[in-house]
Amino acid sequence: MKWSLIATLLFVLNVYAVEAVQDGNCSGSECQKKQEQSVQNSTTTVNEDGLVSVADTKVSSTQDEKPCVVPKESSEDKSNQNILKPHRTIVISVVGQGVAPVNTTSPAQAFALAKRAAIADAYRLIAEKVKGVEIEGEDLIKNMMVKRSSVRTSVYAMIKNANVVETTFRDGLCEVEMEIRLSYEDIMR
Amino acid sequence: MKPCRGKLSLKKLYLEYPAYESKSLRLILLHNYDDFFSYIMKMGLSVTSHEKVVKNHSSSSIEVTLPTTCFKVEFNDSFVTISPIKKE
Repeated sequence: MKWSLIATLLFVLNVYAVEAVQDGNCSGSECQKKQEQSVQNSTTTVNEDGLVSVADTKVSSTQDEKPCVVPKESSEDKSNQNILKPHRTIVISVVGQGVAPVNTTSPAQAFALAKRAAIADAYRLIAEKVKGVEIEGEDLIKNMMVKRSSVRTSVYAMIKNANVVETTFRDGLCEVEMEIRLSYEDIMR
Repeated sequence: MKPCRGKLSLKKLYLEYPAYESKSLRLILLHNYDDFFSYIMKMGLSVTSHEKVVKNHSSSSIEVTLPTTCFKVEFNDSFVTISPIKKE
């Protein structure tokens, strides 16, 4: 009598487990796997005394797993939306800085070299803004103390049609304001 | 040197030089360095930048490279016309 009750209870629990999995938002092979998993859980954890624990494991296995719903639009897709739109122009403006070397033969040479460094710096800033920067960081910790910490950044870009807007030179420091106009038509040409 | 084939760009650069000087392109470009540099920069520049910070010591390098470009150069009496050739 006792064993027949156990057998019927087992059957009812198996049916309940299959129904619970079918109610979830899954489809295809994953759903089949879940069904197999839940059935296996229900049958393998049965012992003579603990029928209640069988039901618990079944319910928890189906509740813990997230429903396999295909996301309609994730946050990554939103961030990858086109920034440039037709008939619109984006102006990127940067100020590059350059310092004249100490051993120059004349103030004119110092200005020319500082300006060249400032232009190169401005190009780098434009590249960083338009294309982004690769950053590589490394920390070495020994005995709970930082032994070495290093950060490396790098950028590579090809830049066309950048214009120098303004140049100032004061106290050996040259500042070059540079801007670039990005339009949808120019880029897609 | 290999011959360049392609289309001539409409963006021309005119560089003046004294008539009595020799028609050396290198000297003409040196004489008009800023004009030529700003002209060629607009055509395109490769920028490679590296920066490293180790133990609060920073070191950086910026390389600006002009891409290899073919030009057509026309010598006249007192000026030179330079126009880039776009590869087909």
